[in-house]
Amino acid sequence: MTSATTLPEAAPTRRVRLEALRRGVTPYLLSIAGFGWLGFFFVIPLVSGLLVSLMTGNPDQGYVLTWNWSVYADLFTGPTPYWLYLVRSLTYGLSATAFTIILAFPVAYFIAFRVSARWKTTLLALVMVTFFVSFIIRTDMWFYLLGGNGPITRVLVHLHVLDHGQTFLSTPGSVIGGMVYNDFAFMVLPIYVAMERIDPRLHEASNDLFGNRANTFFRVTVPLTRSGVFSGILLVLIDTVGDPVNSSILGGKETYTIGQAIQNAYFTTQQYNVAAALSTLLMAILGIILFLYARVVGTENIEDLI
Amino acid sequence: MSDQTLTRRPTFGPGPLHPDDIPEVKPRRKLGLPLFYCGIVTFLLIPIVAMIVYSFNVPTRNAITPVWQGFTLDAYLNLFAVQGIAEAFFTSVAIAAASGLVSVLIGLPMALALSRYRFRGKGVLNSMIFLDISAPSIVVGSSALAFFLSLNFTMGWTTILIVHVAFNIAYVVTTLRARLSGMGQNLEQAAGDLGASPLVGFFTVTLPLVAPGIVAAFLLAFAMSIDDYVITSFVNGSTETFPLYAYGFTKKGMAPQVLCFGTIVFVVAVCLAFLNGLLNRRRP
Amino acid sequence: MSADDKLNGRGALDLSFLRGAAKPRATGGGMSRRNLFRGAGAVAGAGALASVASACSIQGTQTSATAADATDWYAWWAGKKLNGQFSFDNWAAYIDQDKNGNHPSLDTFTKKTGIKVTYDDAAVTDTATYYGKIAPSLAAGKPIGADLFVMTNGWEFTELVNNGYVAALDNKLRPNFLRNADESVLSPSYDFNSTYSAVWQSGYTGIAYHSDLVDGEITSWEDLTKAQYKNQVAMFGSLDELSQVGLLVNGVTPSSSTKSDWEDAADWLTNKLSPNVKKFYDQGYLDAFKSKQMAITQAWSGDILAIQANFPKVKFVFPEEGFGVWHDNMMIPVTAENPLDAMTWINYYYQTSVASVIEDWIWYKSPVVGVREYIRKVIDDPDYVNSELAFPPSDVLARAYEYVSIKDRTTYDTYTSIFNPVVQGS
Repeated sequence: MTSATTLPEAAPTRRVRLEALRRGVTPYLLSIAGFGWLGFFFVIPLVSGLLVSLMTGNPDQGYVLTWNWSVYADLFTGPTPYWLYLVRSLTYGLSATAFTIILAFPVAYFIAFRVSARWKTTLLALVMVTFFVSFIIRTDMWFYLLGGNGPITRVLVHLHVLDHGQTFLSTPGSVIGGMVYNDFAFMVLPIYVAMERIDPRLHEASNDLFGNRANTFFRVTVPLTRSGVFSGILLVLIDTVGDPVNSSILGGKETYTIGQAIQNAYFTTQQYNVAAALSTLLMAILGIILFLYARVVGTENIEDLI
Repeated sequence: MSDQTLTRRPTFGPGPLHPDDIPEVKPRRKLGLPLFYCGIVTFLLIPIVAMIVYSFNVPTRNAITPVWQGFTLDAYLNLFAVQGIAEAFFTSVAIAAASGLVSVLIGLPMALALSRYRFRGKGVLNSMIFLDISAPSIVVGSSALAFFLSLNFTMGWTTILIVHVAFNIAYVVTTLRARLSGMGQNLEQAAGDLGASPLVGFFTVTLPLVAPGIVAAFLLAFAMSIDDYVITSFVNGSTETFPLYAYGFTKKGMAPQVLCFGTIVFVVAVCLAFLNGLLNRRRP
Repeated sequence: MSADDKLNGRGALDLSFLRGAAKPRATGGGMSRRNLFRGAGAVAGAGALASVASACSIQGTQTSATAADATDWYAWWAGKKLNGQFSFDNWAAYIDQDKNGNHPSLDTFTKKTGIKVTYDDAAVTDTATYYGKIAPSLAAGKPIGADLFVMTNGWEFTELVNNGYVAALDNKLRPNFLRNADESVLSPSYDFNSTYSAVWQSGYTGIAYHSDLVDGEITSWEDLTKAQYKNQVAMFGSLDELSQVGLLVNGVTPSSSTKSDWEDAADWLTNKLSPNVKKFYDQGYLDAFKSKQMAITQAWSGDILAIQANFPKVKFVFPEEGFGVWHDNMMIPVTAENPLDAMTWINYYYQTSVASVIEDWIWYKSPVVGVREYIRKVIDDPDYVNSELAFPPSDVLARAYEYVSIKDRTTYDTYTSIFNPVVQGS
């Protein structure tokens, strides 16, 4: 953590005025390229997404900005139930996030507190090792493993867990499972980092103060890990809510998500305005969630993510 | 208020746990968590094992089958028989390397500004970075597409690179800022006191100290870029990257060669990580 | 910092539930909420201004059509040179392939003509997506990376022609086509005189099922709505493939159907068929079907014929109400860098001996005359030659129908707004 004493402001009186001017200009010079790039290729596109959503037309005659706000109303009242895909995506994202926390917390806890220092890196690396394989390939492997004559299904049919001809695929369960699988490490890492920062003497202190194991866990470990959990929630929720890949590879007819709808509107039906409206709406909803997040947690915890 | 609440309340007294508590707690802690960890790691490794195994399985019409049909090295010996696979792979590597490089070049000064200076507009930069990290891929990708369409810009290599840099800057800045904040400025100031100009101070003192952070930031950016499917799929035009190429195969039956590439990359990456770990361990 | 200090510090933070909000921020990385919004506001404002200034519209694609109409195609072709290479975007498993994934026919072509072929069989997985991918480049007048691609007859085909995205093919450069093309593909309904295209393959869309997983026999589309097949049926997500099923069940000829026919068809699909549907697929259906994801699927004839050797229990049905017949066509984009090389391939393909070798691997229906005899006599593959899937008897062929035919954007928008909700599901 930075302590205030190392900051340059501590000594302005010693500096000459020219130096002060130089220091005043330097940060702008340093960040101009990044600001320009992010502004031009990230922020402006977000705005142009909004503008495209307010256009009308078709790809043949082109799209013209007509401030057609009713496109947003149509998302909820039109023949295609976009609201349903939105609600579904949020549900999948929230469920996946919840499952990920439940599974990732013990794993992070195990690595942080139950393992000697020399094994920590290795055990953590085993969790991270999935990143060495393209997530498209990993997700597609689940498709084969869980398919009708895939090895997992055949074992389960043999054990009479599944009926003949039944599979886990094409269900909300397989989609959420895929999300949990793909985003698991995003949850373990920030929680682990937060746990590593807990001073072990706090646990001793808790013991000294007659805290039993449960007490220590709920009153010391969990609160001090909260920032890590929040970071994990942010990463996993944001990633899963918009994801079109898991639902398209592992899903079925009743798992169509907002991510797929956006892709479909852009590339298949070429309704650019509808696609842009869906994307803007999704960003707005997540924006509200992010706002609440920033309010409760602050934004510098982002550093825990990496 | 019950007695229980009272006993939980911290009081002064002798430290250690009651001896009776220990025997019943210890065995559970020894077995439960390790087993759970092993279960999770198995779950995480299953598809990777499947990838490796299926890359050696005899395919049907050059598409893998989940049923074992016999061992073969054919796919490895004819790695490039599936058209476009090498091109897609090297496109991905090139874009990942380029976007990593550009984002470090742009991100390092920005991280310096954010960690070393107080200035108006810092809040704007911070919120941009926060937003950039937390915007979902589908929104980033589709907005970029809307933007490029509005500008009548042709999609391809350039647009992929532009957008990859745009999402990587935030990761690079965040990584480097953390590193720079943790470093303090005493050494740089010492260099200044000894007469070094700020620029010389930066190159002789700060840069060497932050170098591992730069490498980490570059690797992170590289990894984010090379595995990105969603964002790239909106702005790729007719350029194909490896994830897009692989995704095409999920729609029509995976070619074993794609799995071979996956396996080779995996093995190389694991070896490199292992070597790195070994080197780090030797270091005092 | 002593241990006590640390304890006190952390302990104090713990008291606040809103820890993050109450925590004194590290001056380096922190920011206040006020700044967050002021900042975001300023950036958004600047961004909005810039965007409004730069882009109030997305250019339409129709403008290029007029240019295409005015093109003198003979002169266009006369100005092209052979470059010794071209790239070819096709569907998967749609050309002969040896066990290592090489394509012998293309290799032979290269040996004979010196033209190298870059063949991408990952390129097309469904027509709409492929069109969506190439359209922006074509609209901008830029090469799409392919000099030849295969497009099914349907709306996207019409769009390619309407927008002037594809080159008219000079008959002088494809004598073999004029000589050897089957009667049925010389001037198909969707492309007068095959001006812009040459058929690559034709095929039929029917029903396939694993007879070991299904009770009873399936003979019609109506059978798929039986309660016992709940969640066991897969259909194509392609609107043309899907709409024709609803239309045929209602006794309507797809190619002459109207809006109210579409609504009735969509109604049947949504209310009768959809409850039994597990998933809508594009080309991935075959993989899923082979791995027994579903017992019953809408299917393309050649695919099923090809897997029957490995899956003897799989049956293919030409449904009683009727079934679809479609044509995949080779087309050359106007922006192609090597159009003459691609044209050379088209001409080369329309030779009985060449088309037969390819056909004997993909097992659909070749547009080239004499292929059946050639495969019977020269290649000697009775499995294909005697198959009713490849060569349905005439009473079955009488039930084959072309897709819904749409010629303008407004009609197409109506069509998609009626059928798209079926695919996207609820």
